[in-house]
Amino acid sequence: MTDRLRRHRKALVKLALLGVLASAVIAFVSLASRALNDLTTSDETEEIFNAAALLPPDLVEAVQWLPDNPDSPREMEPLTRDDITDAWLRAWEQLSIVARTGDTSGLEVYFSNSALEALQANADQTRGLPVRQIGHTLQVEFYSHDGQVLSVTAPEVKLLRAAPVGDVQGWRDATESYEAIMILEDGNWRVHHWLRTGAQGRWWSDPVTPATAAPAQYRGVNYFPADTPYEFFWPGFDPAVVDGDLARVAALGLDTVRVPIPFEYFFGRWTIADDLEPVVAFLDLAQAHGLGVIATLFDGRNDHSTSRWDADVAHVTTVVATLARHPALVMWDIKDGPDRDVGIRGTTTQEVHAWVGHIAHAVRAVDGDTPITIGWSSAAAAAAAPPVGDVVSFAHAGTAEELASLLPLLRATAGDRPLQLARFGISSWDGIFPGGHTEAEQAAHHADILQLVDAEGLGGALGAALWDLALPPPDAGPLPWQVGHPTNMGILRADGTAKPVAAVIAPGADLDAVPRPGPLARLDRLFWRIALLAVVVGAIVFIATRRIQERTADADAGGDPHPPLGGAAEARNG
Amino acid sequence: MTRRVLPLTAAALVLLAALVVRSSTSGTSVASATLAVTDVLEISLPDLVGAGDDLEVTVRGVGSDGGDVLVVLDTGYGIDRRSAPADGDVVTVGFGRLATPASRVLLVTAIQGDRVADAAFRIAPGRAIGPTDVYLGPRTVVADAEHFTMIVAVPEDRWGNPVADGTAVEFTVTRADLSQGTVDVETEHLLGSLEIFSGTVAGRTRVATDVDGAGAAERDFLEVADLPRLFELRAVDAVPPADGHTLIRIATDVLIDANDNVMPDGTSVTLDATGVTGVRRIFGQTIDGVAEFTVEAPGAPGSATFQANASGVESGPLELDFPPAVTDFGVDVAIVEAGVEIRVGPVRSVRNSFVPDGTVAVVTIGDVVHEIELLLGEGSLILRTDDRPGPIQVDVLGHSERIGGSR
Repeated sequence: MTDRLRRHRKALVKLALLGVLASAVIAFVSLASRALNDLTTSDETEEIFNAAALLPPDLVEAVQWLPDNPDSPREMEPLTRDDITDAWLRAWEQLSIVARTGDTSGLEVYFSNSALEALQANADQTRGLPVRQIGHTLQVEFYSHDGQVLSVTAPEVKLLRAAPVGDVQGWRDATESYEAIMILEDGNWRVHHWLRTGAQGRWWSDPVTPATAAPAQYRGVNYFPADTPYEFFWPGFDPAVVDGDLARVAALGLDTVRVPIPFEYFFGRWTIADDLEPVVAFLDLAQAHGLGVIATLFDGRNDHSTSRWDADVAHVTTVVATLARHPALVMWDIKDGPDRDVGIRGTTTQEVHAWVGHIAHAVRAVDGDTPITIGWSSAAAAAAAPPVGDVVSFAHAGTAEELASLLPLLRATAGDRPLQLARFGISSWDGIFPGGHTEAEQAAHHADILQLVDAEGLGGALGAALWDLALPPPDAGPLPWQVGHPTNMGILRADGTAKPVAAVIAPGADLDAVPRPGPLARLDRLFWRIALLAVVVGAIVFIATRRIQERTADADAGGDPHPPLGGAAEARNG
Repeated sequence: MTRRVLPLTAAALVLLAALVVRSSTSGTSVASATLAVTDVLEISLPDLVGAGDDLEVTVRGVGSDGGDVLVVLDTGYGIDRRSAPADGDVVTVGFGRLATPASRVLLVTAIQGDRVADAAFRIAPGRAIGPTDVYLGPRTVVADAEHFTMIVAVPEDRWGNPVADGTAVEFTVTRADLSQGTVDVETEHLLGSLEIFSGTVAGRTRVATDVDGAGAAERDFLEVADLPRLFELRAVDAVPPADGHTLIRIATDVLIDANDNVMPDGTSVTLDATGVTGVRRIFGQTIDGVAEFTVEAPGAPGSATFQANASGVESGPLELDFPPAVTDFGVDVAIVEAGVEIRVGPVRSVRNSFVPDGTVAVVTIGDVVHEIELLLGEGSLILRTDDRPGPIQVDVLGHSERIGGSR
């Protein structure tokens, strides 16, 4: 026994020494890396170079130069035009910096004379009401022979101006025109005068003009192919697979599919009509099966900083112009779950709402016929959103009772616009972790929701997925339930067979006939079976252990010649 | 120990149950009402307000229960916010004088909670006030009546607003010969500009600016001579003998352009000299229109040609004939203890003075050449040999003497 204790002590000492050594190594590496970092990125280095931050490329591309005034004394050199572009954008950015921070020290780099004085005089009042740039159109009116005086007009400056509305910072989506004098001083182009010559705008919450075509009643499903979902859908677009899938959708009695149109895959700002051939092919196939298509725009475009809006409008203008006349297209969905993008690069809820409004108006400018909606990620998000589109869409993963409780507020928000469930349903994933559902529960959930949809006269409902998918969405976490739920939302199993929900989803299905899970149904899941088994086994082990301990104690009390010290002490105390 | 197991197991089961309940209700959140503005307020203000005038904004449709009315004035350069309590249906907010620079179109927004209204008005700039900002460039032009410079005036009113387009700007141009002219232009795109063509008289031209009685700092530019006309070279000094030391000055005519304007000081001129001793290029600059070069007389008699180039214009050639500096001198050969001594001199120039110290006498004995630097006109050379050498030729400044041999 003594040797054993000694061995344990030695092992503990060794472990302690190893721990101390490992801590020392980690501390050394940490300190060394910090020192190296200080050497390479010292404050002094930053002060010396004081490099101006790079302008967002999207914003630089949002500047469009019109042909120079032919009466301008001098033709502008390409490099000077780049300098002017840079100075113009940075000057506007300074306004936002002053509004955000109150720091006016950067103004003199981009403004001079009266403009500088005016900006400095107004800096205090401006604070808290920033102006964001969206895009600029510029034209040279006068460029002096010696290249130091420039008069430039900006027929279209698109801005997002902040305004305090209620308790929040609202936004005004403005299109203004300007005339400016810029002077080349000390190698920098500075704004000398800055005159607004016109201004138009609308509030970020202003609705779009209603579509000429009234939105229909939809019963459909969100669509991805089973083996190539999410980012693999369009790169792996296979007309034969899609044709078969759409045939299954039609056979289920559904009339609509909702598909994403990714921003980056279709070349963003530079999208041309030819790039959209796969989408047109999809629409053709849907039309052949008598299905309507809800096109969800801006898939994967989650950063809604204003510097990106011009690219967004360029993209959506091409997409809408190319697809708007297709007979299969029944609705534009501006984005799936834009409320989930709040916080990305600091965007606020109202800024995201402003983006939605900006894009919706851009879509309406091209297509006045097709209804517009926004696929909010929840009923709560839809209720808090401004009344921008023709239809109020939202996803709902909760119960029918929860949805029913939210409907009054939703109706108050929507007014006379129809409500639509852009995605609903629960998964049939039933793993060893809690939160799983059976296929029967999935069908019952669908039946409850669709009964409510019918009873309340909602404008449409789209199931979460046609198929159980081979892959989770790209933003799903790695944990089993984060993978399991999104890959088991389908109406059809991955092997092609139909789940019970397939009999529920079609219009006219007998929803009352769907068996609802009883009070104990929740226990009929893998997790609870394992949990109950564990409890039973644990109880057996516990009881057995206790029995053994009791027998051992009885044997010790019956005549052990060498009782333990504890036992002796107990005996003495007794 | 067993007493602890049961409560822990129970707690774990409760936790799991809570997890299950929570996961089954996920997706539910509290909804809040939408935020959307309603355009129920109405703003009354004039369409045009003079710069420096008072601005008063009247807001109608105010709700007495909606809290203060905030009126935001966006001048284009910044924000001015004023708020007033909603005592009735109408609220009037004064902004005082518009006494700072402002963009031409100003925006007014009235906000009471989510009730809003927006309006715009134009600001009428006042008369120009000095000093007007003027920019002139380029600052130097050729006085040939074809080149030009440009002056740009950016006039403002007393509050820093650009004056209205169409405002008269008067530029008065005073030439170097004090001739004067006045040109009127009108402002367009916030500025008035004028191309000022050069005259034909070089010198400083001054430009004064007047905008509606408001002055500006004078701006000036230089009118300078164009390319020079053809010119000639001359020798300032008499041509010296070819002694390799005496300096001679070569000068250009006064360089003038086609309009008789003297080339500005510092105009670069190059002089190419070609003679019996080789070719050389010398760089110089003009002063008062003349470029002067100093060259050394060649070390051998003969003709030398000089030609200058100014701004691409070449002068006529100047040919100078340098006479011999030495016509005769003595050469002696004597046997000495160390060998054979050759003595040269005294060598006198045509001016009867010793040739300059350091002048080299070249002694040629057969194929062997020796050099002697003369001091006070004399120099010697000792050949370490017992035999009297053959014919000896000595050359000094192009003149040769021979002893021995055929002599």
